[in-house]
Parts: sequence; C-alpha cells; structure tokens
Amino acid sequence: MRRYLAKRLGISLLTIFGIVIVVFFLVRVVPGDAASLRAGPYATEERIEAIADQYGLNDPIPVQFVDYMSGFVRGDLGVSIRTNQPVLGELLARLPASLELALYSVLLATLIGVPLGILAAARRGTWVDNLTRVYAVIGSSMALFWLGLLLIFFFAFQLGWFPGPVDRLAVGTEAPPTYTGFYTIDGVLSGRFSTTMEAFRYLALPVFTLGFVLAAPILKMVRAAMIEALDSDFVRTAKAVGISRTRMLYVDGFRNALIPVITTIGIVFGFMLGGNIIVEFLFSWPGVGRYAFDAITTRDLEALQGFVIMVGILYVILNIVIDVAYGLIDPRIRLGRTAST
Amino acid sequence: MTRKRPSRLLLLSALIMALGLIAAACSSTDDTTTTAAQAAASSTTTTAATTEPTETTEAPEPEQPISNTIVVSLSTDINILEQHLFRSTGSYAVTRALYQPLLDQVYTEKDGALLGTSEVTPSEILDSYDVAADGTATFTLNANAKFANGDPIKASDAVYMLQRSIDAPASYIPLLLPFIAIDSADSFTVVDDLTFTITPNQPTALFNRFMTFQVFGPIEQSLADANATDEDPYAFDYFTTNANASGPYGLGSWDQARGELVLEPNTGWPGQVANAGVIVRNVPDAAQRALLLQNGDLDVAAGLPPRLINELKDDPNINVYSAPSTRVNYIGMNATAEPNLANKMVRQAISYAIPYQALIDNVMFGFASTAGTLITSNMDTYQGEAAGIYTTDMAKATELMDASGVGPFEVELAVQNSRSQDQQAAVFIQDALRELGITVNINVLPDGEFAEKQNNRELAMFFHEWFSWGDDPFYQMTFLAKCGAFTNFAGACNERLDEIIAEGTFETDPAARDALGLEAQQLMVEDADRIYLWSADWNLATRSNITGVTKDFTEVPRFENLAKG
Amino acid sequence: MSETVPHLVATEFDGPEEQSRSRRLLGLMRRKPLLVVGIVLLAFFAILAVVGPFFVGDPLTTDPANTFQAPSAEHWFGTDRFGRDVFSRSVHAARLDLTIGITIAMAAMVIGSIIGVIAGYFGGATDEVMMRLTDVLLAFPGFVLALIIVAALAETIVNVIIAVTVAFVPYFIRLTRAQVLKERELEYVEGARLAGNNSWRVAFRHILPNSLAPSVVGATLVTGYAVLTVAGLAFLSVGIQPPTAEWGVMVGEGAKDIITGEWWTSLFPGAMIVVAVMAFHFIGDELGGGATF
Repeated sequence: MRRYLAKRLGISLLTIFGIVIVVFFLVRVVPGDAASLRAGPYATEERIEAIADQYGLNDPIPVQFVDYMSGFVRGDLGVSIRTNQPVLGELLARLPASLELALYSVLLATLIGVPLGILAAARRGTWVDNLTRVYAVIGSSMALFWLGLLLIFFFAFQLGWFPGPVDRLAVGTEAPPTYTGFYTIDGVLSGRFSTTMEAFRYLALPVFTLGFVLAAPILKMVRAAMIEALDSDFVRTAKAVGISRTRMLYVDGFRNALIPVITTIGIVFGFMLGGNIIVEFLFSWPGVGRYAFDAITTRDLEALQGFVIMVGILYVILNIVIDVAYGLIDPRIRLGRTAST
Repeated sequence: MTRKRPSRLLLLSALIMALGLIAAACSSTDDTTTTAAQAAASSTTTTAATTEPTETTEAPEPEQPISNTIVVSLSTDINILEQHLFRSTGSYAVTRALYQPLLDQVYTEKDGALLGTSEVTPSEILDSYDVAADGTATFTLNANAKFANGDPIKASDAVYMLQRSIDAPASYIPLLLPFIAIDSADSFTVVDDLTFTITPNQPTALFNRFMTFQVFGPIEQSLADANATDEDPYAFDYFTTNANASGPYGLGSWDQARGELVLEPNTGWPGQVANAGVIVRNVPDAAQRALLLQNGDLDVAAGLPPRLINELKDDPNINVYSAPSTRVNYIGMNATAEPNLANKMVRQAISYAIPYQALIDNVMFGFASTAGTLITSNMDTYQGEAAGIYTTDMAKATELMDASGVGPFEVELAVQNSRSQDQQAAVFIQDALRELGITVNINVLPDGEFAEKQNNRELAMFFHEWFSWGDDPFYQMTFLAKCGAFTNFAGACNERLDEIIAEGTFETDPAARDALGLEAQQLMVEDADRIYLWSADWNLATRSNITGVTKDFTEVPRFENLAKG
Repeated sequence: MSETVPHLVATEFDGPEEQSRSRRLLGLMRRKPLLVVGIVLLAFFAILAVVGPFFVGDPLTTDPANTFQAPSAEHWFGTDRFGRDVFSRSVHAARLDLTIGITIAMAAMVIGSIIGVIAGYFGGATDEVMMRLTDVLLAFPGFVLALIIVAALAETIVNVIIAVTVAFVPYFIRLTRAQVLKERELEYVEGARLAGNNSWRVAFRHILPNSLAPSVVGATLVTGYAVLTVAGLAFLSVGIQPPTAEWGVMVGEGAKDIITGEWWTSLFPGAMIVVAVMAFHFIGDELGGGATF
C-alpha cells in the first residue's frame, strides 16, 4: 500500500509537471501581447517595454518557463492582467462558490442516478428499464446551456418561482461570515437561516441543470455494475441458498457495484471542477468557471493559465483520492496489483 | 413485496428533492435584502482587502432594509480602484465617487435629470477658483474638506496628485495634458496650506472641462508615501484595492469575487450626499440587468442596449433617461489590411450602400442620431447638409462600384464580442454590401483580441465607438483622424485635415471654427475612410422612484445626487 | 492493466454479443427497440443535413421588417432579431454541426487507435511515455482542454475541429490499448508472428482491425459529445462565431431574447442539438458503449 501510494504520488507529480508545461506553452501561443494588454490602452511604447521587462516578457521562453516554475512551486500563479492582483488569491476567493455548486449538483445526480440505476438493473429488459435508459440517453445528450436556459425561462421568468440567473445571493444581501465558503452552511453556522434559504433558492436552478445531466453517467454505470454483480457467481449462489432477493439486490449486489459507482461519481465531480464554465456563465455564478470565461474574453492569459493549471491539479488529486477510496471500500483490492501490468 | 422496494426508494428521494425545491421556492426573499447596506452603515472601515470575501463579520443582526441605499449596476465590472489606472467605466464611476475633482459642472434640470452645462464651478472641496489672463489658475481648498480617514485635504495633496498624474505611466493623462498646454510638473505650485496654482503654457478652452475629471481629484500624499515601494514610488499597487476618499463616498467593502462594492457617504466631504450609500453590483449581462431593474432588485442600470431601453420605457415602474450625445459610431476601413479599400470609389460606394436609417431604427431603436462624419450632428460646427454627408443610395453605390473597376471581393468586418448592437448592425451591413459584390465575413472577436488587432492595424473593417470627454470637434478629430495618431485606427491620413485640426484646436472665434469644421467635414465625406453609422444617445434606466440622475461631461453615472422618493 | 488513473474509459468492454451474422440485424431490432429509435433519428438528421439546405432559404438573409416573428406557417421556427428564418438556419446548421461532429469523432478514433496500438503492442518505455502523456491530457476536463486550445489557435472552424479532436483522442488511446493488450495474447497473433511478419505488420494488419470494435462504438458516442462540445464552445462565443448558422451560436444569440419573451430563437436550435445527439447516443448505448463513455 505504502509503496503503491509512493509510486502513485510520483506519477501524479509527473502529471502535474506535464500539465504546467502544456498549459504554459499553449498560453504562450494565445494571441494577445501580454505586455501591451497589461500596460492598458493608453500606454506608450516605452511603458510597454518597461512592463515587458518587469514581467520578464522579453526573456527567452525557456527562461520565462523556469521563472514561472519557480514561482509555481512557491504557490505563485502570477498576477492577473485585468486586475493586477495575484491569480491564486483570486481563484481561491472564487473556489468555494464553484465547489458548493459542484457538491450539490453531484449530490442531486447521485440521488437520481443510483436509485434509477438499481431499479433499471432489477427490472432489466422491462419497460421500466427502457424508460430509465431513455432518460440516461436524454441526460447525456442534453446541452447544459439549453436546459439551463429553459429552466430560467420557465421557472425564473414565467413562473417566478426562483430568482433570475444572477449570483449566489440577492443583490444587496451580505454574504454570511466565512467558515466554509459555502453560503448554505455558513448561513446556518452564523445563525442566519434566511441567508441559507436564499442561497438554496439561488442554487436550485443551476444545481438542477447540472444534476439532470450528471445523473446520466451515474445511472448508466450503476445499471451496468449492478447487472454484472447480479450475474456474478456469488450472487447466483446466494440466490440458490435462498437469501432474499431484496437483501441480495441491495446488500450484496450494491456492495459489489460500489466501486465502479464511486469511480463514476468521482469522475463526474472532477468534470464539474472545470466543466461548469457553461453553467457558471449562464447563471452568472461567481466561481472559477466564470472567472475563466472572463479571462478568455479579456485575454487575461495569466488568469487563464492559473485556472487551467488549478483544474488539472485538482483533477489529479481527486483521482488519488478515488484510488485510496477503493482500498477503503473493498479491502480485497490490493492496490499494488492494479498499478502495474 | 420485495419488488416494490426500488420504487419506494425512488419515491422517497424524489420526495426529498421536491420538498427541498418547494421549500426553496416558497421562502420569501423580502426579509433578507439590503444587509450589505446595513454593513455599509455600520462599518467604519474605509478600506477593504479584495481577496477576502467579506469585510464585516459582526454577529447576525435583525435584517432591516435601509430605504435610502441605492443599488446600481454599471455597464462593466470594477477591476481597479486606482484613480489614474482605471480601465473600465465601472472603475471610473467608482473612482469618481471616491476622488473629488477640483471643479464641477453647473447643471440644469430637464425631465427630472440633471444635465451638465458647459459652465463650471468650484467643487465642494474648493473655496474659490480664479483664472488669470495668462491662464494661471489659483485654487483655494475648503478648510473643512477632509479625506475619509479624517485628515484634512491640503494643497500639497492636490499638487502631489497632479505630479503623480503626469508620471502615471499607464494612464491616458499624458495624452490629455497637451490640450491644456501642460508639459511639466513645474506647472504646479503650492502657495500655502490651502492654496495652489496650475500654470499652463497658455490659456486653453478645455482647461476648465478637464478639471472636472476624477483623475484630478486629491489623494493623500502621506498615505501614498507610506505604501510606496522602490518599484512603485506612487503606491499604485496599494491604491488598486484601497482608497482614502476625497470625494462624496468612502469605500465600505469590496467583495470582488461576487462583484459587489459598497460605498458609504464620506462624512468629511463638505457637500450633501442625497442617499445613505450606494451598492455597486456587477451584472455582466445587460438583459439580466434589465430584468433585475424590473424586479426592483436594482435601482439604477447603466449600459443597457437600445433594444432593452426601448422595452423598458413602457414599464410604469421604470424611468428611462436619454439625451443626445456627441458619441460617434463608425466602421473604420483600413486600406493597408485590405488593398481593395485603398480605392476611394469603393469606399464611397460602400458609404452609399449602408442602410443608415434602418440601423438607427432597427438596431438603435431610435436612440441615436445621424453621425455624418466624425463631427456628429450634436457637435459644435456640424454642417451635415452643406458637407453632403452620405445617405442610402443604392443606385449611386452600384455606379461608383462599377466605375471603380474593382471586382467582387471578400473583406473581414471585425466586431467586439461584448457589443451586441454592433453585431446586429454587422448583419445588416453584410446583407447590404452583398448587392455590391462585396462578401463581408463578420468576425466576432473577444474584446481583448479585438483591441490588440485594432491597435496593430490588422483589421480591414471594424466597428468603433468613440466618445470624447473633451466634447470638441477638433479634439475628436485629433484622436481619430490625425495622421499617425495612435487611436486613428483606420490609418487614414489627410494633410489638409491635419492643418485644420491644428488650427481649430486653439481657435476661439465661432465663425472661424465653423468654417474650419465645414471644410473638415467635406474632406471626411470625400475621403470616406470611415462609414459613419450613427451617434448613440446617452441613456440610463432607473426605478421610477429614483431622483437625481446626473449627466456630466463623461456621461458615466454619478451617485451623490441619487435618492429614493 | 496499468490503468492507474480511473477515467471515463473503462478498461473492460462489452462488445456486441456474438451471433450469426445473418440474424444479427433482425435480432438486434427486436431486442433493442431503442437502437431502432436511434437509427430512425439518425437517418432523419442525415437526410436533413444532406438535402435539407437545398429546400430552405438562405440562412443569412436579413429582413428588418420582420424581426422576432413568432412561429407560424410561414416561419416554422419564427424569425430572429435580424428577421432571419430560424428554421432555415437550423437546417443549415444541421449540416455544419453533423459534419464537424463526425469529422472530430473519425479523426480522434484514427489518431487514438494508432497511438493505442503502438503503446499496447510494443509496451515498455514507448507505452510508459505515451500513457504518461495521455494522463496529462486526461487531467483536463475535455471541455477545458478544447477551450484553451481554441483560444490558443485562431478561432476558425478548422481549429475548433483540431481542438475538440485533441480533447477526445486520449479516450481512444486508452480504449484501443486496453483491447490490444487482450488481443496481443491471443493465438492468431502468435501465429502471425511465427509466420514471419514484422512487429509493425502484426500490430497494424492483424491486431488493429481486431481491436477496433470498441472504438467504433465509442466513436458513435463521441460524435454526439463532439457536437455538444462544439455547440457549448460556440455558446460561449469561443470558436464558431455569429452569424454562422450553427446551433450553439443560435442558442447563444437567442439567450439574449429569452428575457424579453422571444423563446423560439433559442428553443428550436437547442432542441435540434439535443435530438441529434440523442440519435448517436441511442445507437452507441445500445451497441454496448453506454457504460464506457
């Protein structure tokens, strides 16, 4: 286990290094002269030159890369062109908003996907199964931006049940004091329940948009894993010795299906870390996705670079966590063996 | 029995979700609004760190709306609070509230709005202001004027700001100064604690006007010095996120991630602030701004496109203010980027083919007037008819196109991603020019890339909106038409026009100015280097109970007169 | 298996069950009604994309007098803010979107399979290096990867295709490699080797064709995801730009009209996206790729 983890971490570090290289060089190709962008529209040639010197933009690319890397290992992701502030700080200030959205969305997706998947597997081949599979196809074919738009149109504009697509709280509502950065939880911790309820109202539509779509892969995986588990020898044996179908389905079957399901949920969550640019844009959600979108439209290369690197690293870390979770869920899996051919 | 379990599980989870949603839908928002206003009223801090989501961490208090706090959303976000380095109108509006310029306009009330005249008066922080015949201006500060931290505003602070503005390397101020004949920091002198002078090389028409700009608002020297570093001797970094206001408002808090900035009245400001504070909220999408205004979540919404303004003007809960402006909206035609545009007849043919009135009616919904040339119809010395400005005439266009000898060609028309009205106009123009055999490829570019390509003169045809805070035909042409000027993006150059600009800039006789203006307009019509599309109106939408809307030279929303009726 | 990072591609693949070829089609249809739905939908879109544009109007013609007409007999999907016919734009967009989607899936499959075979068959250091590089690409959500590549290249349709292809290639690499690792051990490979074929020949002439099945099914699903990705980028104004008749562009433009009540400018093109993608996903899912992608 320990050896495996060491190797796993080594590979992850290598991957992170690769991510930084890829992103660094990709971003260098992005059109947009960093010095003149930074200097602003009124700057003189001399000023642009001075800025280029100050930020090392005249150095050869390899030198710039070494500079960036040495900053990177010290936790410095550069300074935003648009706001003149450290990118890391700006990302961290926006991360809780994204995480809160991601967590609730994945939670909803799990609550939809897991029961439906079990149901489909239990009634394999019936109309119930077909119906859930139709939902799975619709869910994975759904364009997030279109679904979100429809929900906004009906539930925010026509019916007025939920607030319009702006932010996490109403205009003028002060954010609760920061404990976790999740407004729904901070509201409770600080005793401001009305703020918590308001945060839920603002979360509802984007969470439903994402949850509807993310439930599809979970459903598919649960169904497939359950079918495999139910067909396995040991469940068949259990059946033969007369263990009740219910117990079989939920206790033994589901336990065996748990690993692929956890994996899928983990992957879906990882997808959320960077994949919700569309939803954050659509709902004006003040998270990292929205930040990345602004960075692209304003050609804030430093900010864009920081965002992509952060997403890559979070993704790698998440994968390690999933791997470790395997071992905890099912001690029969000897991690070392899955790590090499 | 056993077969029913899955359905139950399903039902249960569905029920939980449904209850959650219903609970969320039913809980009222009414009791939770305007707590930030409260924060503004109770917080005593004048500066806010931006990376911290919240500045105030007091225990929860009963939430009561404070009625006279105004919630405003501007056309852009606020990215920098530095008075000289601001880069967006959002930042400008806020820095105008934080830093008090030396002079202000005299306003007249029209249809409920305060419209600035060209007459100026000493601002609240001044006692007196005199200009001698040689142009030397003497300012005496109001002894009661204080910064938000309670320190008095001294003459040395004002002079420090002036010197700093000359050295502000990334601001546009160095470009302004030639118009008021200032070229060195020696022009500024401290006379005594409250008195200082500015001595330009000669008197100029624009001096008074420029002194109403926020970039000439005092900043506390001792605070700047305390936060200066070797690389940053003027403490630009510090003031990027902090402020010690000399203007009507101090900085309450700034949650940059959420895009919410709270301004609270500066008690040291000698004037009268009509409201209890302002919350500036960033709502990036214009349609959402309009919606929030309709819902009553916003009191003032700026930067709404004409289509929404048109929609809102029929809403009884909303007042739409609009007034003609001297903006010019044009399409630059750059002959170096597209050789076919070097042919003057082609450019003239294009100018005749544009459906000008359809653009003003369908794209601008009537919230615009004729541009004609860079000297637009609302500008001093405008003589459109005499200059023979273009109107739509397809027959003439085809004739000129045939006579030019240029065959069908393709050209790229660049549009900024953020400007929906330009994108709309582009589609109409694309359709119109097809009849001339010109295939227009519309290229919607992110704003940053657009600006860069525009600066590098890489765009063959591009939209541009220009608004001169200088509001003067010769000033306008200096930036847009002078040979080699950095904002002359069309890259056109006419030597006679340059002479006219040089003469006109310091000409004070109206008749002579008119004559120069007419000749300039004739040259611009003849050269047809730009398609002069329209001149967009200034507009602002507010809830109908809001009073005190103010339009000054910059047309950026002002806060201190706003009040809830 | 050396799958150290769990990803969207499972290492096991359930291909279509073996059946006698003559009965396969009929049997599938009877057992898999959803597959039939998918095929019917796909046929509909194929016809729409190929011949549709010849029957509808020009997608760029503006009509200032008829902006924002609600759906009617004359304009089935209504008109947009420029007076353009939303239906004819949607039909033209079908051709563009489907062409792009299929191109991306094909390109990603071909490139991914080649790399996958090389990595899987030759193993060793080649494999290690290739898989580490794949890990790096897989460390970004596909959408983010495509986004930054489009931003880095100029925003043209070809570059969008390149960017989205790069985002999907890693899945095919893993899929093919996993299959190759299984195939490698089978007897026919040994036979081919003993018959004197060199490794490249064995890898590409013998193993590759036998390892393609999962990738082909995967490509069906990827076509759908590629359409979604391209449209999603266009919705964010990245990649394909207005006034191009493209579904994502149309929804993006139409999103601005929702607040003022003109729902048809975004509803119809969005529905086209979803139904078109469903066509591919019904087929891909029913062919057994469902739990894989």
